[in-house]
Formats: sequence, C-alpha cells, structure tokens
Amino acid sequence: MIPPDHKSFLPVLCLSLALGTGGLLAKEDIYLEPEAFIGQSFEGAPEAKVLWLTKETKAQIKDVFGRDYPGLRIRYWQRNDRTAWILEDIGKVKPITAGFVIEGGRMLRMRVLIYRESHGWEVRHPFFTDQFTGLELETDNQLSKTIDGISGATLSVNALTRLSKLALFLHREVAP
Amino acid sequence: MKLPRKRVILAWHRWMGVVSALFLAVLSVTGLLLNHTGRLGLDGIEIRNPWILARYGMEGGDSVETYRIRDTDTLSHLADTLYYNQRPVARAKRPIGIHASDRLTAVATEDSLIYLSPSGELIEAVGAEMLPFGEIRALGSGAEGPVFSTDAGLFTVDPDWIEFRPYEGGYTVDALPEAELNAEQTAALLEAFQGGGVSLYRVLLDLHAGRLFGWGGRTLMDLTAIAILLLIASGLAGWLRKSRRAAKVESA
Repeated sequence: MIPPDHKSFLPVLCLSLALGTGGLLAKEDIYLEPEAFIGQSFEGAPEAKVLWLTKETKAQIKDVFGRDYPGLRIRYWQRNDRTAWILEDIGKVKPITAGFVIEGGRMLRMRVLIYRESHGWEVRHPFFTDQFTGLELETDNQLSKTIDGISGATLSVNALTRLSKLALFLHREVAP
Repeated sequence: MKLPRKRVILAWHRWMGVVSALFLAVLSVTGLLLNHTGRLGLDGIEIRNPWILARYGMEGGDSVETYRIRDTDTLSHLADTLYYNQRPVARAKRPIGIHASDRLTAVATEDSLIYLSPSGELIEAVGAEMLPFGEIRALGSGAEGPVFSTDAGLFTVDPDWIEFRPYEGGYTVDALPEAELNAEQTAALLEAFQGGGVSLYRVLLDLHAGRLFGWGGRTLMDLTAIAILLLIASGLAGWLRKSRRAAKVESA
C-alpha cells in the first residue's frame, strides 16, 4: 500500500503512461480530385495518352528534373495544343501530387491536388500557385521567371518548381 | 520562504529516485557510450536483431508474400514494397490480382495498379486518385480482356491499360499463383529491404532519446529529465530545511 504522502506522486506516473499511448497519424489532404482537375482544364473531353520514355528522354528528364522520374511512361491528357499532366514528387518525405495545364509551351495553370506532408501546405494557396501561370521553359532548362519561396515550406516549393519544369519539358516532347 | 515538511520532501525525493533510477541508468550508460562513438566503432557495428529491426519498420522474412510470374520470375511483397525477383520496383499494398501478358504485367492492389515490363521494370504506378473507382476487389479475365471488380462495379481497360470503361458480362478470377522463395532468395530480398541493418550508434542514440519506443519512450525520457531537476530541487530543499533547523537549535 502506498503511504498517503506518496499518493501525490501517482498523477505524475499516470500522466506519463497516458502520454505514452499517444501517436502521430499521417494524413492526406485531397484539395482537388485529379479527375475534376482534368475536367476543369479542357473545353470538351481530352484524349488520355501516355508518353513512353526512351533512354534518351529519361536522360533529359534527369537534367531537367534533377533526378530520375519513376516509370517507363507518363500519362497525360491532350486536346489540340493543350496538355494536362498530373505528376508527383517527394516534398520532404511524402509525395505531393500536382496538376499542370500547358498550351503553346506556356503554363496556364498549376494546382496542388493532393498534399501528404505534415508541413508546408501553404503551397496550395493561389498566392503561391498563381506564380506559375505564364511560366515557360527556356533553352537552358530554367524557368522563365523565379518562383518566390514560402518560409517553412522550402522543400515543397522546390518540389513544385521541379515538377513545373518537368511538365513544361514533357509538353515540349508531345506538343504538335 | 516556507518549505514543505521534511517528511514530504523526503518522500517525493525517494519516489522520484526509485521510479527514474532505471531510466537515469539508461541515459547515463548510453550517453557515455555515445560520447565515445569513434573509439568504440559504434558506427561500424550493424544490428540485425529482428525485434530491433521491427522497431525501425524493417520486418523480417516471415512477412514476405511471393507469387509466381511467367514461370521463371517472382513478385514478392514486403512492408508496402513490391519486389520483382528480389529487386524493389514500387511501393504498393499487398497484391490481390496479377495479369501477365506479352506486353506488360499488371499488379492490382486494393487501391492501385502497378504496370511492369516483361523484364520487371516499372512502367507506371497508377494510384487510386487516377482510377475511376475507389477500391479494387478482384482482377479477373473476361471476353474483352482484364476485368476489375470494384466498389463502383465491373470495369475493363484498353490494350494499353490507359482508359477504363464499365464492363458487363462474365469473367473468371484465378487465385494468385503463390510461390516460395528459397533461403538464398529470401536473404537477397531482406538484404534489399534492410540493407546492412541498423548501426549500433543509431540504436543507442534512439535509446538515449527514448525514440526507440516511439512517442511513449520519448515522453518517458522527457519525464526522466524533469525528474532529475526535481531530484536536485527536493535534495536542496531537504538540505536547506536541515540547515535552518540546525541554525534554530544553535540560536536557542
């Protein structure tokens, strides 16, 4: 039996055990379903296509994207000169899914569709995504203007900047 | 300042000392070892103990599930990763159906489709967000090709596996062709998954911080650190009380 004076210590012990059962759960925020993004991006139904990546294309992607993009083909949607791409890249530890609409080599729209990281979700807001409108990929594979970062979301900003370069490059590969 | 009664101070001091003794010992021993990492070569010692590896999410060979593809090849699933002949190809849940043809091998999980080339290279991983249905329940074969039984009904797909369309008609579902890896193949797969194991330095560092036992362990180590401060405070309070009483006795 615990003496009366010693009972004051029990709440501390109980608190430690209670805290010990807690945990952090990963979450996935879907801001816009990819299907809805494709639907909003075209007037009329686009054609779903795939771009098969040759050895040469994969090497060029590595130059533009800074690393290999997984897979041997990338899915896209096209209607006339407009293409839409849904691409993924790791921000810090989890993939960010983003949609890109490009026409005539210029970015018309970029949207963050699914965000899985615990920090940096500010990149979904228009004050950030609007910067991508009008972007072009220059001959040295650099973007035509600088993307302003967001404090605390540097890795997500970098991932989306890389992905926008990749989308512009891929559009160049398939555009008529 | 009025100090608590000596008996209360001593009781707190004693209980905190007893309860935190084990954790204090762990902190001290791991701290000492970590301070001499280079001399002790802790970085070069790899731990392959199953319990320790499980703490780092590196399950052992017991949880490997393997299926036969094209008579000669295998597809294994371990810890949310698919391995083609012991080579990691994609992150995915456990396969529920496999459809192999001359052009590609499609692996269906409940929420994604993984397309592999005949030589086992990843062609494309199609996540749930890119599919016109939520959950795949089975992958079978019908008159027009592959058939997906899903939460949104039956679907089939074009020969390039790009566009899905609703399907009406009969279909059959074959059981997954299970296979066994031999000891050498299992070791190769675990090597691909676990690498060289976990370094003793990493384990000691996580034991020191309590991270080895997750959030609860970290909290216990936090409480142990707080207990050290309280032990100092209660020790000083007990000593002050004794000093004051001695001074009173002397002045009387």
